[in-house]
Amino acid sequence: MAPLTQYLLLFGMLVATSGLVWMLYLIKKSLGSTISEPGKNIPAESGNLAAKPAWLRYHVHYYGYALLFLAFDMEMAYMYPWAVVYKEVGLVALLDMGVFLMILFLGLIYTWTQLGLERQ
Amino acid sequence: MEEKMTYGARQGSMTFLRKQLAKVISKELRIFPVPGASLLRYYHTEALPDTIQLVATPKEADVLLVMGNLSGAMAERAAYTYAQMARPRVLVMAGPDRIEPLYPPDVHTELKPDFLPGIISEIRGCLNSAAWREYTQPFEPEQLLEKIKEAEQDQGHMHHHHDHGEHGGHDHSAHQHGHGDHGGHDHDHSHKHDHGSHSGHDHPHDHQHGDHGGHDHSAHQHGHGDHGGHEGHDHSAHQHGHGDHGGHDHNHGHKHEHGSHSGHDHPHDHQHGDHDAQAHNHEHHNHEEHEGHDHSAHDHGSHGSHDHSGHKHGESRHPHDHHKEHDHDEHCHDDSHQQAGGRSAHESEADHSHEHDHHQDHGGHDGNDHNHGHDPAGHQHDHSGHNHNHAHGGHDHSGHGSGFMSMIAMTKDLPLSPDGLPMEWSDVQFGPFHPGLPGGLRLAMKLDGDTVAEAKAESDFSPLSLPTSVRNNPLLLPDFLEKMNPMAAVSYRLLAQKALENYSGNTAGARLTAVEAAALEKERIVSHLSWLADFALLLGSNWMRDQAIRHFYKFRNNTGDEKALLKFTDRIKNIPYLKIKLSAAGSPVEHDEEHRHHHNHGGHVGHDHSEHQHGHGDHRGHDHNHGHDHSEHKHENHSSHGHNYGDHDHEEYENHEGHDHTGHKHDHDSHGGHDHHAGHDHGDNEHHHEEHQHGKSHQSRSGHSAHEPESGDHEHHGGHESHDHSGERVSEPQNLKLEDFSGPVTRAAGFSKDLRTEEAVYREGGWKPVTTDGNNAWSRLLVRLGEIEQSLRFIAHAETVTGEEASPDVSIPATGMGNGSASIESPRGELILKFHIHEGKLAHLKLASSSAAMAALVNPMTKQMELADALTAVSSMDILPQELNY
Repeated sequence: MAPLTQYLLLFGMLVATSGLVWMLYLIKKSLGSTISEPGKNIPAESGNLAAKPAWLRYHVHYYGYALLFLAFDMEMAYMYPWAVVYKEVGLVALLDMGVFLMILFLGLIYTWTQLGLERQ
Repeated sequence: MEEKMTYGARQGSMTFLRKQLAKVISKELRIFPVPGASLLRYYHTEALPDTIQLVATPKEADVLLVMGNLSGAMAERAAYTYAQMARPRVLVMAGPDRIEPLYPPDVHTELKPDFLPGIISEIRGCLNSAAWREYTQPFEPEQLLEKIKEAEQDQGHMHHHHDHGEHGGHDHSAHQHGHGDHGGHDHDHSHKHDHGSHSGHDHPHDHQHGDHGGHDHSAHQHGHGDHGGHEGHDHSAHQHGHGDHGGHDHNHGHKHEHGSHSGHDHPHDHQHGDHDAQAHNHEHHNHEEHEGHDHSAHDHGSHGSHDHSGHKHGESRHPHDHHKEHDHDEHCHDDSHQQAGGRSAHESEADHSHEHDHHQDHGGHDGNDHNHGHDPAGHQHDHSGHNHNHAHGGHDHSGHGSGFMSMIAMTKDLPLSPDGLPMEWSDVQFGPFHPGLPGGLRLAMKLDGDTVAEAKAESDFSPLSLPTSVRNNPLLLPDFLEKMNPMAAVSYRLLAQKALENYSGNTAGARLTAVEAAALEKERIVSHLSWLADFALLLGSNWMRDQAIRHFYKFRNNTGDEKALLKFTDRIKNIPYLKIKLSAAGSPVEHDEEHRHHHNHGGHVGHDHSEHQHGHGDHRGHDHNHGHDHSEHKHENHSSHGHNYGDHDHEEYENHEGHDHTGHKHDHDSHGGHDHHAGHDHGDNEHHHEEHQHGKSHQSRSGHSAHEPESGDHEHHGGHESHDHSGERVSEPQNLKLEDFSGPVTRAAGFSKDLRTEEAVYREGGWKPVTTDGNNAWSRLLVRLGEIEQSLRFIAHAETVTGEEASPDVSIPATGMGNGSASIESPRGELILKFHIHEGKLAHLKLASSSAAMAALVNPMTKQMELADALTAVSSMDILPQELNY
């Protein structure tokens, strides 16, 4: 594609985008001006004005689970190079990874017994 | 149409384009029904046309449809809802033609059956002709403006916990003394040094160092900003910065009631025994001219190895009435020195060596080493054994501003989650106009993350009031009650009729006839289907909702298809995963409410005594004479606490009728996950323990995040004398027992309790109540589906029974007096009506329903549930909010 064509395309896209924005503006204009009303300034829940801002220290109850996932997910990084050399190394690689996964699995079991998988 | 839409139109003139737009809007009307869709459903005999859509939020709605007279609270909320709707919007009222603070409606109609189709064209006309108006007005009723302004201000105070600005003075109220290595200490001293211009010093300390779960001095309110003119040393303000307590409990229980002291006497008898090299950093802020320090009975001993284990501060009230040298008359405790930003400075010190830059004049203090070996007689500062360690190395009170975004400062005073983390609870409201809950039911909840910490179900309907016409003529009662409760019209009519028959002495007539029972069962089917429609909406199943509504109208119109309905109920029972999903919204079957409640706490990891004032501490080998008396515990009252009941044998709780924590004075402000009951053996019904031996049974853990349930030898609830759970935000009725309730919720918990078993007409057909085990949303669904099927069979059977007609007419004599009563098993449970008629007039009337009991169950039932489960659980109870205000 010739450079000029490319610039033409770019120009066309700019025009189309501007046109769309302009049209949206026109539609908005055609709907009339808005009226400032006090009742619209505050969030309301089921007819109740929200008394407090929603910006607060929020308890993510699954944080323990999320942290565990992160810990175990990181171990996955070791499996990629292992998968690459698996064919070359063969059964030994399988056993090695088996031991590795077993240790991880024991960790998981331990976590389970300690109620680490429960919602906090 | 000129007067229409004054407050609902958009501003501008009706151009061609706008007319076309208005036409499009009016074609498919989106209605927000107030108080709820289910009530609207009951006023119609046919499903609404497809061009009318009921929406869940005001944002989507074009029409606000108000049905019937609203109470003041509900009208206000309706006005907020209207204010939140986008223009163009139409206000429609069915019934009253004006409800303050709403303005007069754009469309008005009478509240009668099938009222909506008749006004659809008028609503459309409004939109078509006046969706845009030149002189439209903002909706700002005066009654609401102030409340809206207040809410706006609250919204603006995003950082109200943390933005403490510049502080000239000192107020330790917010200090968090990050005590070094306290194995989970929480020095909730509960000090409230309200030193406001004292001429007589009043130090109501309540030292009661509770659960030292991370040394949180949060409750200290040492407003010792400027002790100008202390002649005597006042240790009430001391912050015992215990360095390294391996599980100590400073549960001093001191009540320093220093009132108008001229001389100060601290007969504390501290006997600090075996502190692991802690330094009592008593902070004397700006104590000027301390002269007559008298810690008369302080025996701080050799503080190389403090041991608080021997503390028996149970009732150490110190009537400082023989103080000689202390003169607090000149104390000038300036409360204006409210600083909380400074608390941040305390957050990380392993050693409480504060840098008290503000110690301007410790006149009477003898340097930084306050050796509190007090001499009672001489009233001198002889703190020989006490190392007050005012070296204040790590404490910097000078800045007071360094606490921005400090984690401890930010989490100060926050309620603790069951896992011991201080978190902010959010206040949320569901209802009165929530599409998944019965219209008019307001569910106010405090959420800890997405978990329910507290919940309260209230009705926004006005209390029932009898009009004079009904009072004067009791025969109008059936009509009145029927009209008042369109969602249980048959039940209420029958109830009133039966009560009148009972009054007139017609005992035979007071029983249900086959025709009446069939009508009642038909209402049951319809009611359960209506509930199912709302419940399905909450579950997100449009299919279930549409089907339920379709069957609802069919059975209301006596054109119901039994086979199709049975097929529908079967399909619901077989929806994959629905059982798992709904089983979470409830608790295992228990045989009384206490059990159910305690089970709910199974997952708790700690005790949140955030509102309590427990005097308990972290006790590793300590002996705390708390002075509490746990006699008459009422375990229900623990419902709003994060008790870790762990693996308790709940059978033991069964008879704990008398437990009453209402008077508790635990004085644990902000416990770091304390669980007072995890290890307690409540096997006894009454705990008349004089001494609290928290002793070795408590495992002193960091933050007390989880008391071992197996350390269950807390046999001594040491003398808890006045437990004060007054901080509980939600009060609950005592002795909530599921078997005392009625209706499908009770039957879904395995109790075969049903008034119909007493009716001959039911007994004849070998009728038995439908029950399931489970006590959760799934079992309630199963019970209602089962009852639908059972009612279908019963109606079919009743049609074959001939003879009995509806109840005979009743006459009320104009003279004499008497009582009438009746009870009936409505679709939601027992309804009981009692009245007294005096000389032909209703003198007294009392209605009781199961809904009130259900509403009382909401808090204990939803505690620690995930929000979605809690909403499902509440919705599954089918509370009729109109019944809450009888």
